[in-house]
Amino acid sequence: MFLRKIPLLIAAVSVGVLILAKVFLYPDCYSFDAHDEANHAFPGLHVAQTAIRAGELPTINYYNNFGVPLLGDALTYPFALQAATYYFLDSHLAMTVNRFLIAVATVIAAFGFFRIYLGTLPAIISAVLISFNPVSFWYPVHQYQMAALFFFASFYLLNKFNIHRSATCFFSLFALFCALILSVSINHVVLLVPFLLAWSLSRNGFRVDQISIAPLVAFIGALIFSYPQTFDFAQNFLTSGRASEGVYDSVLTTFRELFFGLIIPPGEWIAYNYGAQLQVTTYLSMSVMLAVLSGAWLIRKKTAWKQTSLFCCGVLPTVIAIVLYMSPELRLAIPLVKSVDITRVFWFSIPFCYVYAGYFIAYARFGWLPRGVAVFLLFVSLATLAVIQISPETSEVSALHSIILLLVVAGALTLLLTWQSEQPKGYRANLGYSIGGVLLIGSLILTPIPVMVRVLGLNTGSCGGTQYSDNLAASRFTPYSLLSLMEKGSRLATEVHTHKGHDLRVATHEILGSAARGIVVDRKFGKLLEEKRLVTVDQIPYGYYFSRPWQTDALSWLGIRYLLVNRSTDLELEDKGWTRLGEAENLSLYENPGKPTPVYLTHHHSSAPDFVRDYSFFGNHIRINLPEISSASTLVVTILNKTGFEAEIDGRTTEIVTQQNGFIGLHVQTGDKVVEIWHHPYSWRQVAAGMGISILMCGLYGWFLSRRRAENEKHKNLQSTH
Amino acid sequence: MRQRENRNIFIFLLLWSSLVIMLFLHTSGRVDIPLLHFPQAKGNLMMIEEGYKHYNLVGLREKVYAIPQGSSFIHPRRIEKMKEIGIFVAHSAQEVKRMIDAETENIEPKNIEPKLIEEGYKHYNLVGLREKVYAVPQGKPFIHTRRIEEMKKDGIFVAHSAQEAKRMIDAETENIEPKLILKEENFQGHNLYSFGRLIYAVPAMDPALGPYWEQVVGENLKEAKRFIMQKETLVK
Repeated sequence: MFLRKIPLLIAAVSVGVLILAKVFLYPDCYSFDAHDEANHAFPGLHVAQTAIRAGELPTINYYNNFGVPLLGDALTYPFALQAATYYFLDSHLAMTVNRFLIAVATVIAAFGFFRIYLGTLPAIISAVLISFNPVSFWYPVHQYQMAALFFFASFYLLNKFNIHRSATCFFSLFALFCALILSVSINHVVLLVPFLLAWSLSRNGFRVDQISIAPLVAFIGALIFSYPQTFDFAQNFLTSGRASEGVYDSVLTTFRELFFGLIIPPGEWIAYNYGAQLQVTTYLSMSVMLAVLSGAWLIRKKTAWKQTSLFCCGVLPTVIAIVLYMSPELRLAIPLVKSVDITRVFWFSIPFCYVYAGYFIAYARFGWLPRGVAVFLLFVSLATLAVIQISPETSEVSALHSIILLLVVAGALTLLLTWQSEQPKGYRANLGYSIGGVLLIGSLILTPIPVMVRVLGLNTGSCGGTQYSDNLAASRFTPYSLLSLMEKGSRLATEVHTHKGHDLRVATHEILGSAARGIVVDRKFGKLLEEKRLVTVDQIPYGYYFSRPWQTDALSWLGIRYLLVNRSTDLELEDKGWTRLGEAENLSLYENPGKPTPVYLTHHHSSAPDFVRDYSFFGNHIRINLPEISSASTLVVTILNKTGFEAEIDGRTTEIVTQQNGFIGLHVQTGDKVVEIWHHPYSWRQVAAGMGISILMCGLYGWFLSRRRAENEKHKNLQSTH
Repeated sequence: MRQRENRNIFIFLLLWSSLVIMLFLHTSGRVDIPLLHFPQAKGNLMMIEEGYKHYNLVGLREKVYAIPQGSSFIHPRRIEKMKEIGIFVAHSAQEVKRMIDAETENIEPKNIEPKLIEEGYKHYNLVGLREKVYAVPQGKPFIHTRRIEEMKKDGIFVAHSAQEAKRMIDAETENIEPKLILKEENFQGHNLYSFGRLIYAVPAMDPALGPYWEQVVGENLKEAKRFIMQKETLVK
């Protein structure tokens, strides 16, 4: 049994090794993304794991943008399966290990998915090819890397459940969904649900019964299991800057452009640089499309549920997504759809389309394609070749695209000539069919090469430049030498574009950052800073960094002690009394003359803040040792007050008063000594209750399924006895 | 049947592994596979001006496109299609606006790229642009967007043909009175002067131009110094 799995293992490991090609070939090179991962996942996980180690539920990151929710931060996912490696390894190593393991596991799970429909060989080939599905292959980052793996595993288990109808299968499905919701970006989870339901209904002949709705029950159970994370995300997302933004625009808006986008990666022929996912995400290749269409024709006599499930989960969503992609006006008018990248539908619909290609492979390997199909392949591939040769747009694309089509032409021609010249059976005929089949399958195997080369950056000649690899330095705060000049617990603002992540990365060194970048950004607070001309908005989705003209007083009120500016000498700051602490990599670090801290007292008789020096941030907890207070004052903590904050002064519960700018405020009196603040939107008890209810609910449903199954078997036995 | 299946799986793994090895070799730089060189589009599409006489002005790399409002941006290699839609292509926003005003691409003078006709004719480069030829002193940049008066101040000649430009250079170089300019003082007892295109070494103690003047001459300072050193060695 194990020996039969060896080819699958070899194929899976080869995909994992290929993904890490640059890690093996270049020194000091690791597999991680310098933006989403180095800026968000690495520091976010550091903060979360510090809280978890202290026995707290990580709910807030005090170090990021005046306090940003952590549990609902879709870029961190502290309870994700892939977050486990971070407990044992440095971030860059943990992500490199994750990438390899997830790539291998994805190929194996994809094999399980394709085996629902296909034999071993077409399933292995399809599993390898689908690993390079452009849309999912483009996004290897922390919150997305498990999406394809869970997708394949979900359908594998769902099929098992439909065959066995057992409580064990149902409970495994529930457990898988729990891990899915904790590990994968919620928008992908939401996108997956219609596929699961459509597939389940198709599998059961569109009957609504306890089997077809089982995935929905398991999914609801998983939502209850993980409710603090999911609800926190929903709440934060709806109040963030991103909810109202249409972030993703289309590039290919005519049929001609779309056609080229489907057969050649747009990044190769489009007239201008579009440095993001649309460089490749629409690329399917003509060879694959022909295989899909031929496969769809070839399976018309297969089991009805297989046809309907492939149509409902493969063809239909792909067509809807293409229509919406080509109609930006329509798409941007649909709430929620407008703020997601519609091509992500391909993440889940294309694997179903590849099942058709798998059927094509199953027939092609023996040369068993009907003549009509071979003629169709021949004419369409020849026509496409002609289009590539004569169209001005494609005049400079790689010859590989033509070679792929030539293989299809040669394969189809070989089959046609074999039929023409030989009897249907015989050695030469078999050889002809085999050669024709190998040529056709060979064309499919070559199709992911443009995607591999572009997405893995195999042509860049260096380690970096893609989301798959970068040098170690890109995973840290730079300039590293300036870190030692800053006091822990102080706040830094950086006059550098937010995608560089300076303000985010200082969290791992327990320094507070100021700039805003991420899915959850408090727009109201951002607008306030914009009105005061303290920040520059530098990106969509909403984000900003602190910028000149420097207003020392306003920065002090925000607790900003350090400024990292992108010049050697900042005369403006020096005129205002700021001290230059150091310089490296064309960035200079300045210190506020007032040496402000993130915590201060304000008095009625004084307009200046009285900074508190004795305080600490740890997990969700802030502890402040107050100095001698001469009169009633307000203690301001420069963290935005959100739902879930509690405060105590010397053990007495105290009401938190939100300050004008949204910060936490507490009224303190003479003699008060210790202030403690916690962020506790959920207690462990509430979390455990959610888990308990969901396990109970799914347990009961599983018991109900077992009972029904036993009754049915009894009924069948009785019927067979009679 | 199973044997055949296993054989097919083996063939697939062989093909796939070869592909992975090929990609590794290419990435390592040990083997360069031209088929794996995929072009990558460059330049950003920028809106320069919206709604100029019902045209949107869009910039891409060194060109400006005037697109009738309501039409989409057409791939720049589709020249025929652009003409059909009425998209104007120019090298500057001003030029494209003039095209819009004239309702045709055939405007005069039309900006085109300067073309080097001859390099180093008596220390001048001859540059062709539209129907004119410019003689530009070597070492000076040719900024074709400047006014002709400004160019002339910089010593650039403007002619209608290469012959005419050369005649102007000849006339100019013949008319120039060379000036004696001190380049370096007291190099091994000599002062080095430039006169015309040559360097002359004059004994520092005898500034008068005597017979020595005829002997130590170089095309440039380095050459003149080398002659001086050779002469000194011979004397010793």
